[in-house]
Amino acid sequence: MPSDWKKVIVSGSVAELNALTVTPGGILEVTGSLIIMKNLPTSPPVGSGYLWNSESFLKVTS
Amino acid sequence: MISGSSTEAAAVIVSGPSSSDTASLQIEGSSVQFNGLPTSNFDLPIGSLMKSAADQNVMVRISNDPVTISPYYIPWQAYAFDFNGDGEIGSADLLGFLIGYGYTLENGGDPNFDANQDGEIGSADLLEFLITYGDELSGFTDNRPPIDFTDPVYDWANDAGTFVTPESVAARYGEFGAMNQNHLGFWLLGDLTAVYTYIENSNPPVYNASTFPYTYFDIFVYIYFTQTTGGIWGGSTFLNVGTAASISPNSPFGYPM
Repeated sequence: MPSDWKKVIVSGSVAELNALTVTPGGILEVTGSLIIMKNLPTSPPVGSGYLWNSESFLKVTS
Repeated sequence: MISGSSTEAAAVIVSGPSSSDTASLQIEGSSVQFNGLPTSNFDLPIGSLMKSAADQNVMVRISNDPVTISPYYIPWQAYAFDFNGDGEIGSADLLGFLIGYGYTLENGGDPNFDANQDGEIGSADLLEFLITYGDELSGFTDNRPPIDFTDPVYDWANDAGTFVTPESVAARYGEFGAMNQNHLGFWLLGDLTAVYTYIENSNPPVYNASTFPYTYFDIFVYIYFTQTTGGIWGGSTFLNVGTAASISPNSPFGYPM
């Protein structure tokens, strides 16, 4: 398989993306039971709306 | 969409898997941004992410009804030795005291009997008990005032005026400080007849970052700043309990130091 192989992600497939942006007013819906965020920062990032791990409490910057 | 690309979509639904051992959504990057996360309310669909108004905690709506917090069971205000809660320090209380004598709070001793607050039910506590033996608690003699936590002056946290935040409590303290209220004066503000005296008796939970992330200060706040007519009744915490000598039906133990 060539290194630059890219899979077209269609409905029902398993996807890997570099970044995903859901436009304002859009919906990100996860019906599964397990959501993993492995590398959240442990101090609040600069900017609003960023998730971060505050001593195991999930917070969002204002 | 192309795998490995940066993608923009109007809506994304991840429909599976639903088993708990396989991630439905996994983010390995360190930057996750939710610009439009709503403030918590109960009009959102169940499962919605939302943020708390006070501390920006991210939460998931899990039910149709507000989650209620069970009362913290803490010692009585003045009559700490009223073991059975009948309003009188009598023989039944003495029996309870003697059963608990020698125990430390850590191994099951009742904090209501630990008058000198040394963590153990001992001889000093027995002396204090005997001094107060026979006293009766008349109804509604607690001098703590009702606190109008819906007063906009104090910037109470939510629209319903039923919750408080560290900021609002700090503001409340600031108000008292500005009035130069001493510890007794704090409790003598307002209508002296509207505060209930009785609360249930047990050990408050021990602080635990995961299971009970509250300090006694939080408990104090809970008791004194969420009390409502017909709802949560007033009481004391270890923090606002004064010296044993202050035990009196008309003498509040004072402001937490």
